Amino acid sequence: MGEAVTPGLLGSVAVAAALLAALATAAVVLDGVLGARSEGRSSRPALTRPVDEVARLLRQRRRAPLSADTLLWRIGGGGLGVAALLMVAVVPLGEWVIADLDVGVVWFNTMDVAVWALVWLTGWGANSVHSLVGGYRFLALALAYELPLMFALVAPAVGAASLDVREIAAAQGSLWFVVWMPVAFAVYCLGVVAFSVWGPFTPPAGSDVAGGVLSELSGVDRLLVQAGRYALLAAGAAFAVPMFLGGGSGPLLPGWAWVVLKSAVLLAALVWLRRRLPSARPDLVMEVGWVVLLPAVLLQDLAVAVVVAWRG
Amino acid sequence: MLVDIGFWVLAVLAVASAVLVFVVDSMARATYALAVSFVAVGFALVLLQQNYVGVVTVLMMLMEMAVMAVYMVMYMGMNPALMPMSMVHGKRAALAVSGAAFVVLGAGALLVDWPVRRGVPAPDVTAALGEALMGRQMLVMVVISPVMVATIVGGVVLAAHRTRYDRFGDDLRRRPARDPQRGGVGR
Amino acid sequence: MGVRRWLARRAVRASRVLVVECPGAWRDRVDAEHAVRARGWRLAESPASADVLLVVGEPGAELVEVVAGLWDAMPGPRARVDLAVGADPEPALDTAVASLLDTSAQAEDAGGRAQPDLGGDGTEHHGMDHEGMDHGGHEGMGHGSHEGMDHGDMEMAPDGIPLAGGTEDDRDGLEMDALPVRLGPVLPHWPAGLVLDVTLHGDLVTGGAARFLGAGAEDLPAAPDPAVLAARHCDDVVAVLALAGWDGGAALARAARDTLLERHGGDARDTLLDLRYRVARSRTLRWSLGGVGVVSAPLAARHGLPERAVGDCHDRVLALVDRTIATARVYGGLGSATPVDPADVDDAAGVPVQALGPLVTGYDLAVARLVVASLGTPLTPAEVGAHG
Repeated sequence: MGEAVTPGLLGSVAVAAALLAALATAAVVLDGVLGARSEGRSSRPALTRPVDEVARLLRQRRRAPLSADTLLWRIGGGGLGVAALLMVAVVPLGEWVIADLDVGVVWFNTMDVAVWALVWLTGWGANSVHSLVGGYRFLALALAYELPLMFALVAPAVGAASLDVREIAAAQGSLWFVVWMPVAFAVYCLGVVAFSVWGPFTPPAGSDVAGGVLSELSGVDRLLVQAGRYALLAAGAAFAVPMFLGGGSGPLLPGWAWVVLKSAVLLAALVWLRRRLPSARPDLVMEVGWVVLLPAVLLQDLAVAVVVAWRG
Repeated sequence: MLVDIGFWVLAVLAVASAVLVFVVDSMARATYALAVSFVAVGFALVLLQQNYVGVVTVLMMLMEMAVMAVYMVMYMGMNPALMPMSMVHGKRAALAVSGAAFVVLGAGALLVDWPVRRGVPAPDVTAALGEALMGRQMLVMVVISPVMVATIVGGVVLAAHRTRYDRFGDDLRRRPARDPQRGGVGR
Repeated sequence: MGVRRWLARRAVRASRVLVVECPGAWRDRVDAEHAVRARGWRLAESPASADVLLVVGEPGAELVEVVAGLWDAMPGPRARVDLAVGADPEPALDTAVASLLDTSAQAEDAGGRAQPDLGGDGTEHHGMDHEGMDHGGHEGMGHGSHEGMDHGDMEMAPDGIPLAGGTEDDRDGLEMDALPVRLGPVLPHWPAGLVLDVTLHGDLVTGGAARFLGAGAEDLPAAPDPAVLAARHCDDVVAVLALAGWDGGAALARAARDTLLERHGGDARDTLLDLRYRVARSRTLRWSLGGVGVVSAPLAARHGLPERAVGDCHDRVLALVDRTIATARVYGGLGSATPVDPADVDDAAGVPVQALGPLVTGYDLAVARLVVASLGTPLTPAEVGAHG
């Protein structure tokens, strides 16, 4: 492969966006089917749900509340999908990667921090109480999950002695990092669910505040935010593959196929997990993040550092 | 060529959004105009091949501005923050000070006799920069960082109006602790 | 044209319905929700996300106004259907479909609206309306005149910036603005017709007063069928679990509710006992609700609350499940060998609506919602009088 498959930048971005959209769509369908199953209804409407929902929101007019800051509001909503796309830009699909950045891990981290700003702006811009409360809830959650997530990203980087995502993937030839960095992997997954405002981390968009940051969104605005959330979840799952799950390594199939397959499996696991957990309110998560997760993941980092130093 | 265009775009963006901070009439817009300015500076650092420093700058600044939004509303209240309000005060003095600072810095940048490059840049400029900045001061930094952490923790402890005696009682034996709201660990 | 028709047809399959339950139309609301879900549609959480406004029952004068506000806040294409008590929801939903698909009528509707920017869903714009504010470029934090500002009963600072001083009960001691917000009457998992006027500092509730919209003596329901009563009690459980974000548990409770309504005795027993077991056993639910919103025995006595209100939200949701089981026993839905004397069941022991305001004070919005839900559907003053 190598040089043979380096299409132009636009082509690469289109391919990455298509893959991301496909993963996100699959997540929507899976979530719908699981939901229908758990309520004992037919899961057929869930199969076409992404198409129907997109049609519905494209047809719906967008409406802004009184004296909303529509500029900031729409920047926030539209930015989520862009952030997700910029995250997968550094994920190597086998040999092929859009942006071969030597600090890919930091880049991913930067994008997930950008989500702080984007979700808050979505909550702020609508000029409505429920929406604003949702935006602040996200920041409160972010203060709880972000530092553990950062230190979880440190573990593979120390393990491979590089911030380059390709080198990290390549360093897992014999043993996947998930095997000897389980705490970092678990905390990472938690962080992914959290920055996607998803599953237990839904309070910013919770039904107790009438949908929170989503409460005033309609039409295309709502479509972008909802698609952005699923895209972030998919991007987070995809980034875990080179970081913890051995990248494109695997028998028979080519590297890119393994990356897509592993991302899909992790994504499915995250979707499946959602129904089993109640929502994690910021007041609960704050203490867990700082008192449990942060020390745990720091110990994980220490263990990884000791192992790396030991091996020389 | 491409780098030149990139630099100018980022430079103009950085300055223009910095000016916007004082032009816009909403705290949220001012905060995020500042964030855009810093992000442009961060990407300008990437153009200097300082990928790590540049991307980390973007990361820190986005985070900082998001947190600043929290403080903004904490101190200003939820409601007036949504009202249009002027982002400047003490205009005349501020203009004089910032104008003077700009002239001094700009003159310095243009007039200083910058040294010409000798030799070639190190293969890893980020590492070289780190070595140049921190190399000899490493011991000092290692000592200072725990002191800084201790200062932060100490400051928070001193500022908090509730102590462990409020939580656990005078003999520190009360379990569970008396808190206005329960945390997620159940200490 | 073909593409637009296709788009409209696909869009309608994913419709979201905002259900407004008028007092006395509980049973019909449940049936309507059932019909909505059976079509693969979903319920909307806010008017901005809704395509269909479904008004179940006969709204009183105040509720009519609220419904008009909601209708105004819907982006469109939109359809409004009114469902009378006892009517079949299916034809009503079919009407909604036809209305949503009628592109020309929808375009006309959109054209007839004053502005696309008309906001306000009637539930939360108190004190947030800054239209008509004049903001001059004064020195400092200068504001112009503030006529036309709707800040409720807020005190104005000399500068015209309504910064309320930190009040005595402000937990964090910050000078937050006191923002009057009305919760309800149309919110997800919220008792029908209830409004809770709260003062918010950030998202902290610092005061509240609750009442039922248009509640009078005429709203006193006839003694309900015990089966329906058990299902209603079960619906309270659905609300708490849904607000706690435990979708699996909420689905289970909803299934139990529907089983109770269909009077399948044996099934109801199994489902309810399964629900009891799952709710009691779930560690994550205990983590989420345990120690939250504690009501002490003296506090309960002071506000005239029943015994089941004592404890935290987790205790109360279990009490709600137990109340459901006890009520279901009365009509023999649980197939118990020994019939239970109706007098043994504490079915009248509801929470007087006036108690809600003081009880949510001091909690943040999330916990306040959990407290309201975990107390069960409150009693109107008329009901309190009738039972007291």
